[in-house]
Amino acid sequence: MKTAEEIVNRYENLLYRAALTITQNREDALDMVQETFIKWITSRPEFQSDEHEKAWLLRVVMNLSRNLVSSAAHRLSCELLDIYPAETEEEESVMEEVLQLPEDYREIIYLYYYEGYNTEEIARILNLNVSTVRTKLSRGRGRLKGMLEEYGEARDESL
Amino acid sequence: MKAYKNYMDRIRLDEEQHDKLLEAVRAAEAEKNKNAVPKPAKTRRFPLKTFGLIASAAAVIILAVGVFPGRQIKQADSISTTLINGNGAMVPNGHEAAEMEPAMPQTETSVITEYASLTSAFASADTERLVEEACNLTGVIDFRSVSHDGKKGQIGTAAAPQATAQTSGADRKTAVLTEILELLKTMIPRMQEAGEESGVNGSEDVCRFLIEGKEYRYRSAEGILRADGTEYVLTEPERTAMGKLLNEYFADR
Repeated sequence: MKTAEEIVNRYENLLYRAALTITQNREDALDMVQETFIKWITSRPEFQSDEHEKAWLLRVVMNLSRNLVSSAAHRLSCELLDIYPAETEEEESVMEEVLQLPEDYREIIYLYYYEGYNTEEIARILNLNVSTVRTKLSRGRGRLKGMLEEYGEARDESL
Repeated sequence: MKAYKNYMDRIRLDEEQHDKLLEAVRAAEAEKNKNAVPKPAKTRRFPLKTFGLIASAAAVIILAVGVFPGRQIKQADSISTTLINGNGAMVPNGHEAAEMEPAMPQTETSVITEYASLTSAFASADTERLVEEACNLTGVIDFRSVSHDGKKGQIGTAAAPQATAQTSGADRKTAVLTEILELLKTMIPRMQEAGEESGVNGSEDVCRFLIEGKEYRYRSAEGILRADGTEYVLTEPERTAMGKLLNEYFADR
């Protein structure tokens, strides 16, 4: 059985990125990460594998973040690029486009392109239909226009 | 998407955030441990399969250690008692009493000699020998083949000349069997209506014979013939003969 400290050290950045993708607010993201770890401590679920554990934590942090965003308590802000400034113009333009996407598209883009999950895995994590995930991924990519073409062409075939 | 990945790679908690998070998590864990109610110890549960296995093993051990030797001694004991009280003559015991014919004359000396060998077997506590001596005394080759309900008898070829009780059973069985075999040989028609005096009914597996109003049943799988409330186990040649005739009889109809 892993200790809470091990879990924090292992997954804090992963969860923070996921939370930040949805909340776009540093403090809120940190709160959601903390809340996720507390849920893990109180429920102490048993996992079949590390991958299962990771998926469970991602699901919790994303659900909590979505709930927060949809609540009145959430302050609408787009401070991400202020806290973590882009290093190149390309990065900045990509991130500006990504941050303009609706939150449900953003989380799928994040899980697909950054975490490397396939659409079936994303559907399990977000508790959605696979076809819904594919549709949202396709539309999200469409909105990102030609910026993702270079990387997207190769992944399109797998969809 | 390389730019996206590069950007996301840089998103990390700084030292201060990490410490703050760790502190909050440790506090939550300590709180949970403080409030934790010790869980009652789980009762060890064995799968049903394991229980079945243990029960079977226990049953086998009990039968092997307790029942069989005990039964042999009990039967042998009953025989010896019979001999003493019988004053030189075999006295019927148990269910076979009804079937027994008058005991064959036997000299007192021979009974005493046989009883002595049986007593010696008792003293030796050698169950195999005990059984052997008891069998010699009663004329039955191996009475362990007798079923627990005492109704099935190892009769016929197994019986020695002085085994009066078994011989009488054998005679009865042979008589019934002969009648049935004759009945089958005559190829009488199967019983069609109730009230018929003689006939054959059932199937090759479980067959019912009616001979002059008396009913006999035969179960071919076990080779058991039931007549007058007694079940007789047929010997292998008898079963073969019976099986052959039944086969012919039912094949023909």
